[in-house]
Amino acid sequence: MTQGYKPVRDSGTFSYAAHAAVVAVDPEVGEVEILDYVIVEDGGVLVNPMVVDGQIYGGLAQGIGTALYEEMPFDNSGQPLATTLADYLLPGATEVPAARLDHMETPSPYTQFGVKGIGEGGAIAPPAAIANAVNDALRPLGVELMQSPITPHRVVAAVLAARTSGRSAA
Amino acid sequence: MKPVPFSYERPRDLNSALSMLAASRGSAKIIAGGQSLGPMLNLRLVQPELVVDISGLAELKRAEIRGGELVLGALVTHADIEDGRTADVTRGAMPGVAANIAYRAVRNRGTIGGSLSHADPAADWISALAALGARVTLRSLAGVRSMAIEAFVVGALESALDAGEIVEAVHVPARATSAHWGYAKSCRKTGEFAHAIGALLVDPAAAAARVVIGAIDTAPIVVTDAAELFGGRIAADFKQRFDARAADALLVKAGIDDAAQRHIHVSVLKRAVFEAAA
Repeated sequence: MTQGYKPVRDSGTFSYAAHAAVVAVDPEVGEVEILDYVIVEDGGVLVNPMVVDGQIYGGLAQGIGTALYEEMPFDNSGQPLATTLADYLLPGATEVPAARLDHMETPSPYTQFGVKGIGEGGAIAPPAAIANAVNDALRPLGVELMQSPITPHRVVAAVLAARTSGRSAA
Repeated sequence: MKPVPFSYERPRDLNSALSMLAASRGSAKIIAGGQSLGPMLNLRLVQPELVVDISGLAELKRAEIRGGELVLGALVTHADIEDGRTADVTRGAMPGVAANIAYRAVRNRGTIGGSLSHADPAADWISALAALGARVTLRSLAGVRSMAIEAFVVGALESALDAGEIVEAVHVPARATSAHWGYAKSCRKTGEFAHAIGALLVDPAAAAARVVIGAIDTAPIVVTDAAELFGGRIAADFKQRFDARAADALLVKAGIDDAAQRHIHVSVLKRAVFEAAA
């Protein structure tokens, strides 16, 4: 016998999350270091909290990759420039901080046990949280980065551009 | 991917290895630790007919102090240097560099001779040893020759090695007690190749300084008489005298037209200068 499960209302469930990052940015070399990272997630009732935590940590790692490392550039003739993992950088264990995690449990009224999906949430917020933190750190220099990944080169190029325009305005 | 089919030899002594290399007429690659050649074989960036595994050659594993300088056989590993299994005449400079090469698994296998032969511009030894004023001896069936590291590294992945020739040893001069050492690099992530390296050996007592700007797209910039980077004179106040514009000019001269890239290189060199002065 095969059994399925269909919730009363199948338009999907929505979990909520807030991510906060504290970073250090070296404006001369362009290095970004994540000093602290906090995630609060509302995934409804947690059926297996260990799996939920693992999903969120994994998502965070993927999101850090989007924020700081992963990029698929092409040259002018369309040739991909990152075709191996030597060129396509992924965060490793040393690039993913020990994030602090907290849960709110607001049960979904539409699902069995009040569960919500939390599969993707962890990966979506980090680029925004980290970019906002980097921009906050660089605000006194008049720098705002609007493109990911935030590479050392992009940071330094933006800092130099701000310095140049600052000089020309003066 | 997998490598192309190749023959494999593991000679027992250096002369057999040299004979195999001579007979192969340039179609052989030497493997020692395999930390660069392994991936390159798998990506088919190299397609040798023969791989000569020199990891069994005891002659190349020696490390000794001879005539005031340290002679390290080509097969000495980064971890040997990091852990102090080999002598040190650089007062901690070389162990410090070794300890930050890639990550431990690479350091356990990777060798100093392999790193030099591979001549990756972003690798640590070609820059660090040039700053320390080291020399390299190359051996073939025809004999031995010796040259400074900066002469040995010709370009990106390009060394002065002729076909049939092998790096035998690295000769590192003793670091004077009055000489300051600074080494800094910037990497996108832990264990990744650097995208900027700065190295310097400054001896105010001798009014001398060697400066290296490494991890550029080609061979490192080696300034053996670096007074120009310190306002024309090397003295105890070298940190204050460091001239970022002169360093930038060197990078312009080397053909790096991207200002942000140059700025990163100069900033990393500045870190090394500050470390040397600390």
